[in-house]
Amino acid sequence: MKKKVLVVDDSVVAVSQLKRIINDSGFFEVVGHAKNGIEGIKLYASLRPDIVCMDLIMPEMDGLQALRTIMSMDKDAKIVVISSAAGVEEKSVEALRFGAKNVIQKPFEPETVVSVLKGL
Amino acid sequence: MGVRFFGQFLVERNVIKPNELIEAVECQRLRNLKFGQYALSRGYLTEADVQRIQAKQRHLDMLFGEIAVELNVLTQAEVEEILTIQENDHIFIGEALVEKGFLTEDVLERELTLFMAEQSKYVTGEIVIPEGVKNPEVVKDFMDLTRKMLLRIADINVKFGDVCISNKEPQRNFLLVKVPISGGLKYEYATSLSRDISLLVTSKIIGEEIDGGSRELLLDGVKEFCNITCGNITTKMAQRGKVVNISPPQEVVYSQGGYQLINGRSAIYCPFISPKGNILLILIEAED
Repeated sequence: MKKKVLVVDDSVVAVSQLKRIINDSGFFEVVGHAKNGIEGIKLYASLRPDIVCMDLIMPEMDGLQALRTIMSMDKDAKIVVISSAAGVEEKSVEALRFGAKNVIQKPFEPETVVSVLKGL
Repeated sequence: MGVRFFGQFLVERNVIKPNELIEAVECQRLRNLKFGQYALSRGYLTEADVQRIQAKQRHLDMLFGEIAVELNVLTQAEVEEILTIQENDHIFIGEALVEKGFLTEDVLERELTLFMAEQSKYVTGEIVIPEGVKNPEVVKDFMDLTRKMLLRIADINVKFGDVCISNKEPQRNFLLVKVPISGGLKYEYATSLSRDISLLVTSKIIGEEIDGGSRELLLDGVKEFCNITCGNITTKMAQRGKVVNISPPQEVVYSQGGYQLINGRSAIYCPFISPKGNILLILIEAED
C-alpha cells in the first residue's frame, strides 16, 4: 500500500512539482496539500498522513511553527522539511531539533526527495 | 541542491542521522568559543567591556576585535593572539562528527570531496560593480546566485549586462516580484521578467511543458523561483557571517503611475542578457 503524503507549501508550482515526483515514485501518494502552516496543521489532523513535506517560508504561519505544533499533536509524525532556507545551518538544525526527520534544500533533484522519503 | 552547509548535505544523503548532526553541532557550540569568551577567559576583558563592545557592534559593521582596539580595551597584539588561539581550537562539523564516532575519517574525506565538487558551482565569479555601491561583495553574491539559479532551475544561460545605479522606477514588464530581506542586511530583492522567461521558469520548476499558462500560475512560478534564489542567498550570507531572513515573495503591481518599487531610493540595476527574453535584477538597500 502506498504511503500517504501531505504537502505544505504556499507555492502552487512547488506543490505540482512535488506531487508529480511523489506520485510518480509508485511508493507514495499525495493525499492533500496546504498553503500555509495553519492549513497544514488542520489537514494533518483530518488526513493523518504517513509523511508531511513541509516548506519553511510561508505566509500566516511558517513551517517551523507548524512543525512544532504537529510534533506536539503527534510525537511520531514524520515530517521532512523541503525549503530554500534549508541550507542555512541555524534553520536546518532548528527544524531537526523540533523533530523533522530530514531536511532537503530547494532546488532539489527528484531522486533526492524519493530517496529521503523511502528512508523514513 | 543549492548553496548549503556540510551537515545538511550529510543528513540529506542519509550519511548521518538528524540526532547525530544535532549532537555534533552542540559539540561545535561548546568548543568553538566566541572572541569575547576567549578574551574573558584570559582576563583581557571584563564582562562590562564585552557588553560595551557588543552594544557598539549592533550599529557598526566592524569585528569584535576591531572595536575592542578602537576602545583601547585590547591591544592589536592581544587581538592577534586570541584570533590564533580561536583558529587553532576551531572544530569543523566533519571533525566533530568523527570525534563523536558518527563518521569515519574515510567517509568524511569521501563526502567532503563530493560536497566541495557540488558547491564549487556556487562560487562567485568575476563581476564588475560600479563605484559607490555599498557592500559590493554582497551585491556580487546576489547577482551571481541569481544567474546560477536561472541556469540550475530554468536552464537559462545568461550573461551579465552593465550594472548601474538609478532612482527611477523600472520599465513595465510581464511580472515584477520582490522579496524583502531583513536581519544583518536589509534589502529588497526584485526581479522583472518577460512572459517567455516566466513561462520557462514555471515549466522547469513544475517539470513539464505548460501550454500558455495563466498569469496567476506564472506569477506563482516566478515567486517560487525568487524564493529559492533568495533562500540560497541567505545561505551564502550566513557563510559570510550575516544572518538574514527572507519574507514570502510579493508581486509589485503596475499601476497608471508606473511601479512603486524604488520610490526615489537608490537602486542597483543588474540586467541579464538572454536570447530567451529579458530579465532584470533590482536591489534596493532598505532603510531601518
